[in-house]
Amino acid sequence: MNLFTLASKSLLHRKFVTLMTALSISLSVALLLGVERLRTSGKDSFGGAISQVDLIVGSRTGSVSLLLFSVFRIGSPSQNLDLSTADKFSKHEAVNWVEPFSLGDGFQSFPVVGVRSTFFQHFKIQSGKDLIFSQGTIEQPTKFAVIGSNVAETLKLKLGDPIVLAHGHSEDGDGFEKHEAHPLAVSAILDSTGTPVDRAVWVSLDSIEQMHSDIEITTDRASLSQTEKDKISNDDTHEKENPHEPEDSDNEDEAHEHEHEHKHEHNADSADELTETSQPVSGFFVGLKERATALHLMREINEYKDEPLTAIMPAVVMHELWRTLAVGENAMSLVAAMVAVVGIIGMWVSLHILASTRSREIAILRAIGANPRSIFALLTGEALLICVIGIFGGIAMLQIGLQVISPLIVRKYGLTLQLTLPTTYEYLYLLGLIFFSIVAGMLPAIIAIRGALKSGLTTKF
Amino acid sequence: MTVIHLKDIEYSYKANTPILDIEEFKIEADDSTFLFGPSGCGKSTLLGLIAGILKTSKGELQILDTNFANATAIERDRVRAKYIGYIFQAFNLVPYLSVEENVALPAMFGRTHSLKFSDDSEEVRYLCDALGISQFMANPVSELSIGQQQRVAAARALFGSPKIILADEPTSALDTDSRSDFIKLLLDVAKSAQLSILFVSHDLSLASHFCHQVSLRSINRARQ
Repeated sequence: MNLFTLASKSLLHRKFVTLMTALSISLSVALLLGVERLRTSGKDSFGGAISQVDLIVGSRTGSVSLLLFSVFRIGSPSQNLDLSTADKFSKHEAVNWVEPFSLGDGFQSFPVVGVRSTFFQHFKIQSGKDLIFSQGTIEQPTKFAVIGSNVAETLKLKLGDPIVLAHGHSEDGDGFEKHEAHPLAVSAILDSTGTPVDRAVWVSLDSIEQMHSDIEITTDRASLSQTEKDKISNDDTHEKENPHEPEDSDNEDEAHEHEHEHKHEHNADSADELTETSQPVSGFFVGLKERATALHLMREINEYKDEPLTAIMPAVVMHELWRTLAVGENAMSLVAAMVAVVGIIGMWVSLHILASTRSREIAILRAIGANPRSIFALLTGEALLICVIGIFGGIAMLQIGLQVISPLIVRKYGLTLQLTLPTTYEYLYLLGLIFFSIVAGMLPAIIAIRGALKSGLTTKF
Repeated sequence: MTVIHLKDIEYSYKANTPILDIEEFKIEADDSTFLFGPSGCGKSTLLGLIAGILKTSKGELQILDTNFANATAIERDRVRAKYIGYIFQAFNLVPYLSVEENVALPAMFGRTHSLKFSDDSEEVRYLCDALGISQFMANPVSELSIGQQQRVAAARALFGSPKIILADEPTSALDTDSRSDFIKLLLDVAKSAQLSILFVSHDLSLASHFCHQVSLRSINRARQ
């Protein structure tokens, strides 16, 4: 028998206290690492949402709101710009590629983004990672529907499943006009990325355009059908100011209608040019040949005469935005620190109590010939053992917990909690726990040995 | 041969109020000594000094070949581990170990089984046989009566044939019959192992079992 087996037997003898102490250590470790994981995942997920896009361009708006709607799909663009503008800039000498996008539609509760098929080659995430199709591929560049992993998982969609987009995007997913005449089928499913990409449906810009030009026709027809049935055949030349607008036609969103009318008017003006280039888009992503020219081009776009535009460098705005969110991050760090302190105090108390009930045992071992070093080794060894068991228990608890809750978190917040290696801060905390467990085991040993030196081996009962 | 030799020993817990002041006290090899005195006269303190747990720098405290008065704590611990068996009044045993493991415990701290036996477990079995506890060897100590527990403690003290057994009122928790049984057993085994016993008690009725009887009061010059 050696000290280790002695220590293990002693711990087994005090199963309940040992288990409880280890459990409390486990809980605080799991909690601290969990909070840390959440914090870093939040940051990673946020920062990894867009990569290798040098500029984002939209119509004149605030830089944060442009970032939010273009990357995170929070909020919506106040105005559209014309696709021809995007194509114009794609011919700019500094520009490598341009990827226009169109927002505004929804599928169930998920936002729909209209893009070109080349978008998936140019748009990167997490410092340069490609968007990868886990299933399927884009066969028709003018008609596709690619869904994020989260969409696929939540709605249990497979390749080929029909997708009927709704005009407008709402959280509950209905209450809007549906583009039922233009069903699409899931052509590809993206790999999980832990970014807002997971929570979007990507369809071709052409499909979006087709649907919208149709909607104008059908809604126009609907609004007219009740009173002006004889004019239906004439819908191609529908006027903006309809003097016979019926009172019960206000079920349509006014801005929406206005947009349609505006567009329709535009279409009517250049009916033979109903091509991609006259299509409204929400904005476009720009990749440059050389990153160094970003600032220059940004200024050029911001001062663009033909259309009021805003260009931002996503990394810069992201950084600004994250700084404003730092309050939340700091609060989480504070919670983590508190958890750490409480964990250490709890462990200290239980290890101390555990060790100080053992003065009798220590006297016996001393009488047999154990020197203070062996007593130290025994008590601190036990404390250390409990602490290590607790730490591993905590890590196991966290992993199991993450397995259970991370699907929920992904679904609800689009946050992937990755099982990463502990950060420096976490290592420090674990080392601190180990250090304090050693001290917590050593102190009673010192007290017991001192006591034995003072009063001999007779311990009072 | 003298195994314990105290000369001009003084010990005090508080300054200037010595509890022990002994001019001379000797124990020879193969000898059994009964040291008696009322409670609080310094018996346990004297045992603590002889065991090397307590330390005094005044006088001479020769234990076997080592003078404990100027030996380091490590040296004293080593001598105790190798050559001294100690029996407490009660609660001698480590509660989470079996009888067998308790008896073999000194092997963990530097004592080896005596040369008569080929290994530790053989000696443990022999001692348990000799002390009549062999049927409990694998049992946890909590299942034993106090008398049986004291015999386990004796077996442990005797393990590895130490030179000296220090017994601090080991029978005070036992009833009268078990008392003399226990002492007889202890002395028998001690005799066959050729070691010295210093048995401390306030119960004079036990004195007749031993070769020598010493009153601590008569050798302690400290005022009580």
